Amino acid sequence: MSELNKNIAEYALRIGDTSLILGQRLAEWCGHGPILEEDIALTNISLDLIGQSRAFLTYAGEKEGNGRSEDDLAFFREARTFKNRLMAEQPNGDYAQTMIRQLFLSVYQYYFYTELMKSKDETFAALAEKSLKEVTYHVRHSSEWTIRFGDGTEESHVRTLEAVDTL
Amino acid sequence: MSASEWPLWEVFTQRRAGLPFEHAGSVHAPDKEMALQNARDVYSRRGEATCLWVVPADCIVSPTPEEAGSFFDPSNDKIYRHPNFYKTPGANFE
Repeated sequence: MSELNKNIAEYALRIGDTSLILGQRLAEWCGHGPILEEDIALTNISLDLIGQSRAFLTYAGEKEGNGRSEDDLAFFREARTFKNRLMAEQPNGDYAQTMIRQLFLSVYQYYFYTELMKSKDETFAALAEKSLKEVTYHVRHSSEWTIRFGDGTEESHVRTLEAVDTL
Repeated sequence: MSASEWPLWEVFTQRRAGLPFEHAGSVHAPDKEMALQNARDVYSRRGEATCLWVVPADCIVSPTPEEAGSFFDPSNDKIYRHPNFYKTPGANFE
């Protein structure tokens, strides 16, 4: 494997792992959301993220050149070998913590994918463009919730501040 | 509606530009923005819509079931209101 391919595989894995782990965390809310509409909204975001992860892990497997598929990379690695952003794996906590974690990571992904669209690597650029549309909605969803938590009740305000401190 | 329950919004989706908006169902939401997001997530997550309307359910005016008789029955037995007696080229009012 060339040095370039090795680096691309590593980079794709880091991007894909963050989406994968965050997507799995959100999926834990499936059937446990505070209301039906929000339950569906969070699992929608989860599916967006797992979709992004599939594409990046598939690309990582190709560049790695050892015949590992997206499934091999997603399900047959030791926990310690994942390269996700650590914030993505933080526990769901209460709904404020889930939503603040989402806000931080969605805003991060928004700016990250905006820059990745300029990549000379055509696959990265194309995946970034597709992912950016999804992430733009995730930012909208989590930021609107954050505003309402902050302006809502004394309890929602305090819990949201605690979530920011925890993360 | 209990105090802990959010208001109900009726959701209308448009499949393609130019087609009429059709009633898709309803969502609960505390305000316009959240109603729009909930409608998007519940009724267009599989690409069913290119545009959405959400309308507060209490803004929709409808006759009560008791009024249905006086509202609609009188139109059933006046066949002369259907202009089917005329032969009009190209017209079909059925």
